[in-house]
Amino acid sequence: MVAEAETIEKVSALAEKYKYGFVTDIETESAPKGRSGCSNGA
Amino acid sequence: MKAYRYWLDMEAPDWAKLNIPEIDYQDSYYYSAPKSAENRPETIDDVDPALIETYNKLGIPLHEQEMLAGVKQRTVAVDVVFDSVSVATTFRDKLAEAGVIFMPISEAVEKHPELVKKYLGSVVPHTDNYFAALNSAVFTDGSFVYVPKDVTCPMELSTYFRINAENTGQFERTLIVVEDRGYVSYLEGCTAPQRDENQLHAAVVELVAMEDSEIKYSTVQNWFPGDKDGKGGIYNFVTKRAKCQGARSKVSWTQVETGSAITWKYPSCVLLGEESQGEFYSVAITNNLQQADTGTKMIHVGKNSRSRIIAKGISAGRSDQTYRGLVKSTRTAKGARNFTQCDSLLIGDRCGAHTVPYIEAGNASSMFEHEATTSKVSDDQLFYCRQRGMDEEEALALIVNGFVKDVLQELPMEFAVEAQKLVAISLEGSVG
Repeated sequence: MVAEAETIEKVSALAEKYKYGFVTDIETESAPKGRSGCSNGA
Repeated sequence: MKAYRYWLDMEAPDWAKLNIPEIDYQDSYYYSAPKSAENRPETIDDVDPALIETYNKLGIPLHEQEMLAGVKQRTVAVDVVFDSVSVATTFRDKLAEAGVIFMPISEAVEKHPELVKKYLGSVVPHTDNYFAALNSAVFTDGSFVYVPKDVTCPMELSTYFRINAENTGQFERTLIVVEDRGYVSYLEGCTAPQRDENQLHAAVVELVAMEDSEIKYSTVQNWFPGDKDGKGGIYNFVTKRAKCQGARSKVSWTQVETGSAITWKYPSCVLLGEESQGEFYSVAITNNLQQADTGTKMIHVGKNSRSRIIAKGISAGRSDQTYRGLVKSTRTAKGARNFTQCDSLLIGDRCGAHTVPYIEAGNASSMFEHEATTSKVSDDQLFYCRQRGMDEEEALALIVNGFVKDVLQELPMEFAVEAQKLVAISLEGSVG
């Protein structure tokens, strides 16, 4: 039971460990949002 | 436009054991690209340094000189797809010397229209399923590989997918064609920023293997899986299929799936050629609130075609995972053989593991075998390891690595080591 409680804690902490979650700050251009963007040839 | 109109009349599949929140397809960008990639860079030196730095941080070296000088251990040609466009492809000239074409699919459309026209959509047509239709309607880039007759590709090929922009989906397309007696080993990897909103990845991969050829396709899938409360993460809805067209052709899918909030993915083989072979080796790991419904389809059409499926699922936290597989032989597939082994490992008592095998034998000479196990990492196993001086995480890593080793050994050696580390990281903290 103790092990189980610790498991829950440790698993909860795990999500913070995704090391690829950074964002590259770069100028981006996008087509208009949504499906109208695709039908315009995006 | 044909695919788009077709998609508008379709409904999202609801047969998978997944709880998919309603997706607002109007609330997403279907095309985003770095401005610096507007004019396709001629060489790596022309690529925006911010992008080079991004890939360095991800451990993906792009500078050819460094690799050739042995700064990095392996020589792998890489195509890097950033949001909706391919921003760089390495070792193209060296591959071209061997006759191998490796380039962004957007460029292949211009430079090799006859090949793209012949094979694109020949394995996964736009009518195939909801997400394939969406991909066919909106894809703008991806990777193209062509290996001519009698050529063994001189190095590993790889595509690295990165979603960076906010509220943007990624819809790339991969097409690999290997002619008679050719061989290629190809690996894809993928990551995304940690964001609160979900993002959609709906890719299509098509493989065509001709007579006596072989394609080894490996995936290390590491999309952002969402946080501990299930917030954010990638919806990974992917269609991958191989056509083993020639006699004795062989396609081997190997996948290590550790990321994504929701995975819907069934890499498949259509075994048309006589004595053709399909293989599927998979390790899928889910933790926290991740959901995965994944497996394979092996469709036997050619005489004496063979397939092998080894699927290992590891569920932890409150995650839910399903193996779903179809093995089918038609009337023509006399002497078809399949062996399936499907093992699930549960860590903790709040996760789920499910196995849904479909077997359809269309002739009396087909022989299909299916083995399945479900087990739990028990306190006894952990205690046994701890008695021998290991801490709990080392003990779990040992047990899990023993569980998945049949699959990891199918990866190219350099990647197997990385995948092993990834497996350990994904389960870090899963025992008390």
